[in-house]
Amino acid sequence: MIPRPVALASAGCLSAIGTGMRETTQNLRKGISGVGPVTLFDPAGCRCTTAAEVGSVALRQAARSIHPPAGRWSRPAQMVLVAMAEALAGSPGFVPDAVIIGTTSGAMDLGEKFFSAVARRDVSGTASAVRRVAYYPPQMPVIQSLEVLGCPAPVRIVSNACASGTNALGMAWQLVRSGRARRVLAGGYDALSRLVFSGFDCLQASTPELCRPFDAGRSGLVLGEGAAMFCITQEGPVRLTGYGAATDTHHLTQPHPSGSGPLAAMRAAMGSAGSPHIDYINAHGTATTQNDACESLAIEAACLHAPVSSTKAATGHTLGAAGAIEAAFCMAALTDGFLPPTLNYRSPDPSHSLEIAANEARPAVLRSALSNSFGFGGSNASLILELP
Amino acid sequence: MNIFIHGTGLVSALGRGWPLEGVEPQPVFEEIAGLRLPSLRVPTGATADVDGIPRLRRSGDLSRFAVAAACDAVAGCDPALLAGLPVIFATTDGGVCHTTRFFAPIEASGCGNGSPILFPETVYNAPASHIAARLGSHAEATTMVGDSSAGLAAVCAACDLISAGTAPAVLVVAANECDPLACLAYSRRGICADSAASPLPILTEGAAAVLLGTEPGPAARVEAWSEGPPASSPQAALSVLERLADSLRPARAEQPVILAHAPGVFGLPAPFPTSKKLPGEGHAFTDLAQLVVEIGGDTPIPDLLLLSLGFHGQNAGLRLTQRYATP
Repeated sequence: MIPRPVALASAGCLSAIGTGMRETTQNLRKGISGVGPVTLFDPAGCRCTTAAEVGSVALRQAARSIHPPAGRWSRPAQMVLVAMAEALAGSPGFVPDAVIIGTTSGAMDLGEKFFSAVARRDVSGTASAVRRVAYYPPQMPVIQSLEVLGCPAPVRIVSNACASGTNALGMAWQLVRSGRARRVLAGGYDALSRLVFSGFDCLQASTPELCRPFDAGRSGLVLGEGAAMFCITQEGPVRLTGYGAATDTHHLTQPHPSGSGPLAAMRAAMGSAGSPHIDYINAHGTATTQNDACESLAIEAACLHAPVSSTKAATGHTLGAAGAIEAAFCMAALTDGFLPPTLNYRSPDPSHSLEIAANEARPAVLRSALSNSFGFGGSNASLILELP
Repeated sequence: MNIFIHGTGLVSALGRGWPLEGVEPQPVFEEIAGLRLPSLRVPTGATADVDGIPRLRRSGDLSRFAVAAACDAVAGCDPALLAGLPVIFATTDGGVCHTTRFFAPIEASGCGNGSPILFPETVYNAPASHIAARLGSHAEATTMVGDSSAGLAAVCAACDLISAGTAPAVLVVAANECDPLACLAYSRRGICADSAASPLPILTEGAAAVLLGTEPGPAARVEAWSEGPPASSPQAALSVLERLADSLRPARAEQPVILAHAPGVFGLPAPFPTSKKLPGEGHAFTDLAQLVVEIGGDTPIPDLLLLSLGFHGQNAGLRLTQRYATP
């Protein structure tokens, strides 16, 4: 097989720090954080009471401007629609051969409403919830959006926990590289829900304080939500040159302390890209004690000497969208020439010697970036992006 | 490229493996929302060999079904092959039992009442992780979620990987589990039965697994595979199935047998017959299980097109050539 080139032709992005690539990139460079008190539901009883929420009013307006009935869609479907529309607008005439999207929970709020109606023995509420729960599965926000945008293509949903977005981009990379597809629309999305918020809180993975990736005093993650989508083909301003994935079977929710899983994924990505020199690393960097320790070990073991940042202090951990949103950040960093900052960084962790790009964005000439995503179930995935 | 099916596994309401003769599963009735809804469950003991695995001690049935079927599909394989064997796991509803158990106290008493023991098993990719751990694989384990066509869609994804030269072999596992809430949703949407007398299929559960590879094997050969854009209406659904069949028909004089798995899709009769060898409807599980049962047994099969159209209009299809006689 002769590998074809793979490139990100255009992108759409939505998160707590902005709607659209332009606003998002500007706010990323300004060091703006999207984290604030949770307003979508009552987090009473949780250690963590903050999250990086996408503004519902702005989201609804953005969705309605594309397709007026979308103002009544689920929030995840609105996020997918807005991000997809922006990506497709950047590539006029783009008709995908396949659509590959990563997500961890689909339209979970509709599933929660269905459960609630049944638990309350609310007969009319159950009937309404039954009609809406049809839109709960992860593929439905994507199918709804594709119908509106006029993109008939097979849909694959990848759900590999927090690595989903990167895995989806990796699957797209494999299809275009092999010639099995010429154009793929790929990305990731996730929206906040009570179930998932409670889940991370009960594991004590979420922090009651600020999210401080790689900081010596870090105490956990803050959840976020959003979406990022890409038109992927053979030509574009940023090339997708490598992808690697590996499974760490140490534990369902905890990485092996040696960082062997992340290391295997990074090495596989580097190998597939011809081992380029890496100018910037967008880390998974959730700010949990374990993840950042393992990832630091893995980056050092991979002999990658590049500035590292985690953008999750700005956007929150967007789960299935994280890999896609962070690929969008890498794309912006490469094309606009800057290092995205790690917010809330106070005290270097003496257990590693990584160069952390801290607190403020700074100009940098970057030709290549590596983006990491690691998740429950031992999912580990890495992408390499390069300027042509 | 030739892609062969080397091994299969099946856990169903009939028990473990295929073929299974003379088994008549009886529906189990669950009370929910004032209704008594039927489901066909995997019999107790069908996964006894994996139930005692320490890593599965907190897992739900979904993971046990999946691990058991996976182990059967790779039985006899070289451990060196297993260490680098990619896994693709497909499901429609995921770990719905653990999810409802986890959410119940949150709904009743607030967000601070989640159980850290239950939450990890609610994630869609928990079974894939357990499969990889059981097999000793550190290669990529991918979980795909979709409607009733997710089983064959996962086979298509595996064939893409193999044909790209990414891996010489891939294990595909599809599984689904029964839950009263899922029974209610499917029955209210006219996809599954709300009583034993209903003409609709009863919701069922289980796992199917196929090991695919480039080395010539004793079972069927996958000649072609395809997925189509989701169908959005009854008329579109029929034409999707026809178009899928046309894209997969071989350029040979003999026309294949065509079977379609299209549960509860738009209320119209499917243009092709359905495999009736397994009882009930288990969505992603049933989708892949039809492949296992059609190539199972000792009699060579005729050329076969397997088509799948799910309740959200997603669709996939395979063309299988005649199976070689079992040595």
